[in-house]
Amino acid sequence: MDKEELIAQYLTKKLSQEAQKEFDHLMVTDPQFKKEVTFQEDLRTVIQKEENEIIKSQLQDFETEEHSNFSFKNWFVAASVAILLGLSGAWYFNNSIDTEKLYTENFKPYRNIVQPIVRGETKTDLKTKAFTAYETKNYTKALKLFDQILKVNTDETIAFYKANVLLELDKTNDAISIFEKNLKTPDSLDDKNNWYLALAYLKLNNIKKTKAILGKLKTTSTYRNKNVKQLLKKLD
Amino acid sequence: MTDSNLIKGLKNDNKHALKYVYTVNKTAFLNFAKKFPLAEEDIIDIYQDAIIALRENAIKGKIDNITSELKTYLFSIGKYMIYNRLKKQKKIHLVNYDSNLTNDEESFFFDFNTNELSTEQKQLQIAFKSLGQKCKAILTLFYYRGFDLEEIMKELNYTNKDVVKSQKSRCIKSLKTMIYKN
Repeated sequence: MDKEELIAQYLTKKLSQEAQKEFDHLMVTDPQFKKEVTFQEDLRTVIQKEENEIIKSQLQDFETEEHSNFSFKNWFVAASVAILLGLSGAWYFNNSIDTEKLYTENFKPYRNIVQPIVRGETKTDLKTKAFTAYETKNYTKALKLFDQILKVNTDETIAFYKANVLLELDKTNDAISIFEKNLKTPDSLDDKNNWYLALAYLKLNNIKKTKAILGKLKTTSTYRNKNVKQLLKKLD
Repeated sequence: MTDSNLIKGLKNDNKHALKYVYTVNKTAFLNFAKKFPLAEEDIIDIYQDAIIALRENAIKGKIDNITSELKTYLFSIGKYMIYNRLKKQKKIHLVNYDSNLTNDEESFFFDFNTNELSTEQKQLQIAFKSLGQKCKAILTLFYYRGFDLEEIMKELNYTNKDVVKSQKSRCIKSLKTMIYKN
């Protein structure tokens, strides 16, 4: 096995007994190999820390959101629990397909491929600010900033990200109108627009629409092919 | 949502699942933690760290076959963290709390790394922060989420595995250039 593969398997704890022997041997006899292993372990630690910091700030955001409604807090918790129980009960009895669950499993806001964000750098242009908010999952802020950009310039890509934000903020119908508008003119984001449009309808429990869009997507694009097929299967 | 759906959601980096777990267990946790001599803001801080640890373990696949309820698991992480915090503040002497932990919990807790970064790691952290978004995404999927090249290809819509592989090598190379030139 090549050394790179050996380290990859070590990191994911997939080494076979034999490979483990080879690994141990190299750790003792090959200083370069040992150095590489240490480097990659360090990298993993660093990334872990980085990820956890992102989540921490997200949780702090939840806390701030909650505090802004402080006097309603208990009401809010009680009401959400009641609604959740009620809704899940209703789904359970009326509908063998749990669309909320399928939505949760499949929805993830589309990654930022527009504006690379370099942490620690302080660029102040609107686009960077908007995508920084987007990446740090500060969706309310991102929405405001995307709107500002769109006021000056009707950019379909920005609109697409805005729609992702709207889905995060549970403004599903608004998101749908954007995806549908984007799809009127063909461009390279069409498959993504369709995928998220399908998920938006799924969120609204509109299985018929979801299936129709996914069916089309399956035949016209390879985007998220595996997910598309799985989801279609589950909706049947 | 059932526990297994929540675990799946946490694994897929789903914000709704995260928020749900956070909100639904918070009040009970705060009530539970009241009996310890800690300020409320400390307790919330600990609760957040416990949620982070829970998510991390979900991603690592450590709780795929969990036998207890997710809530119970979350609380035992939280309890452990409370003890640790009190220990740091020298408010309790730890004599027998370990006996409350099962083997499973111990193996988990010792794995949860809260240590400070070493000098080398700090350098690497600075280098990582300055990488482009593409590199961060690939490396995070590979080193944190445990994706293989093929899974990364699908997740990030690359056309083939070799492109991912060479992109990943380039990212690693630029990290090394940054840290070794200093």
